[in-house]
Amino acid sequence: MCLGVPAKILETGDGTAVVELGGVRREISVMLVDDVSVGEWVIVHAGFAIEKLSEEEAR
Amino acid sequence: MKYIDDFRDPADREGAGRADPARCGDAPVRLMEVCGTHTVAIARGGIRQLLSGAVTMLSGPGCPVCVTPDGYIDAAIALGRKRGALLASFGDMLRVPGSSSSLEKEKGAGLEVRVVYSPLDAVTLAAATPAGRSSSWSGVRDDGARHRRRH
Repeated sequence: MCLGVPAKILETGDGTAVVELGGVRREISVMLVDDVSVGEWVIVHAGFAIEKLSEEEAR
Repeated sequence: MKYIDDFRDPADREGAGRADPARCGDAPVRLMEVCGTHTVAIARGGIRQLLSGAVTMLSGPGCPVCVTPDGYIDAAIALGRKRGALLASFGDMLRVPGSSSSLEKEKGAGLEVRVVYSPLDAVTLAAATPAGRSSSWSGVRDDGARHRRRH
């Protein structure tokens, strides 16, 4: 529950995005971060993107 | 992210022990562990012993799972038993005990508990679940065969 994991944005929708999490695609909410776009990385916690991060940090 | 590797690097741990009390100013520095996992990781890493007297660690509020009161779990179980409610929970919440049982035990005894990853999944689940479900629960029996399902 306390675990935030980095994920890459694959698609964006209305307040949502599809990300890849450890090889699994799932829809998350991006309501808590500004302007995410495809290819960017975010930290995902409990189905919500909570912070953007660079690809370098994500890896 | 290499946080796990970094946290386990002995060189970094020793760095924590070199913290100079003089640089902390007059006031002692208190750092709060937000979550029980932090407390355990800090203890396992031996970090607490390395800190100088100027830095103290305080156990913090705990994440929602760590700090969920027994009564919340009891209430969820009661909703499932008495009203046949479909319960959605984070997976790590299942084993957390209430005053007399846990969601995991109740699930084994027939209560309908679904593990969700996100609160949004619970909303989706609720929207997809008919309000007047045909299933209900017969309640509690004392012989151990609890929550026998009535169809």
